[in-house]
Amino acid sequence: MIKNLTAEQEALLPVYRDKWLDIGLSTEPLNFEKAKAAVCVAYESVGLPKPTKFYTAKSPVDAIRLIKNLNPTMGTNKIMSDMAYGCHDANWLGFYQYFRDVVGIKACEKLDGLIDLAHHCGWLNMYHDTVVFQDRPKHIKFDDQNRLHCEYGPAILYRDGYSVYAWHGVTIPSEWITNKGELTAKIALTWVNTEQRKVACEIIGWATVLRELNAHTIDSDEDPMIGTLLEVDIPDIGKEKFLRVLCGTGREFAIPVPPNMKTALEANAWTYGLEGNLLRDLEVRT
Amino acid sequence: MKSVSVSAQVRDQVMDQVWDQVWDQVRDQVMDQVLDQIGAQVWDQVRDQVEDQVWDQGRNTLQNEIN
Repeated sequence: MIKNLTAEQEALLPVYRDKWLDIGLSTEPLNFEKAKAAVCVAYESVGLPKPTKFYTAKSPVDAIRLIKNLNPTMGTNKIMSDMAYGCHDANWLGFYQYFRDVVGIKACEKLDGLIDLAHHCGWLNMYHDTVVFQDRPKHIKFDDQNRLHCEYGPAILYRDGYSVYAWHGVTIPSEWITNKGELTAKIALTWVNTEQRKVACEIIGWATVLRELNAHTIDSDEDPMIGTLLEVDIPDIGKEKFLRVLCGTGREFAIPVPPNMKTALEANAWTYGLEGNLLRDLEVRT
Repeated sequence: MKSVSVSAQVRDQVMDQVWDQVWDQVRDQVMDQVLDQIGAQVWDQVRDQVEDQVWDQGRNTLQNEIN
């Protein structure tokens, strides 16, 4: 029984984590020949005959079309539920590869084929005689907090154009990015999904949305750079506070602030991680 | 094409078996340590942020496009 990892083994934990993050987030094209070899090892490891027919698809949608052409009796739900995750199984495969290579647990060798496969392809469907490999995404974009995010296009894009649009980790309709001009405050405020509704307001700009919400002024500072503290009642979300403020370039912004803010100065200071009076003191000094 | 999927045999069942065998050979805290420092951290970004999003948002789109 292994009771503890050695210092040398512990030192390799972040190495394996980073390696499998790279594998999981890889945007390299499918390596068809290497994927074929790896999947055959995976079949053999459980006593199945090697598959004889191999196909490639550019995305999950492309794979479904292809499989339905190969076997028209198969439904979309069944095909999707049969998909294995290839490179996106990185969390489990990294865990097992660490135990195989670093801790020396022989049982993990049974996953050699899948571990190798994850280096070469995206999702896949495995049938008795046939394997359909999917390509990996062409690009994946994150914000600075590692949340799926792209302001000017798809956050995940496959090579056939299949894509996922996301805003700071929340998936959104593609037209909110591709046709921003048509996203109005009315659409945003009546959107059923509240998480997406907040995102829609961020995309439009809270200052625009607040004008349409008849925001109630709680406190207005004489200095427009400190701004005005507003409260609004957002349908299905409830009361939220915002600081409406002018930036140095004269543009108006509205920033969501915590509900315990009582003055514009306090709210403005909060955006800098300061107490209200400290912000005023800073201003005097400059 | 034979429509019988072998994904469960090739992936799910093997992972379950290997899990049990690793469990038999290492203490809980070692499993937890490796899960926390490799599995969970990779899960957060690869599964939560990418795979789940492709799956969750894509599911309806895929069905609409295909059906």
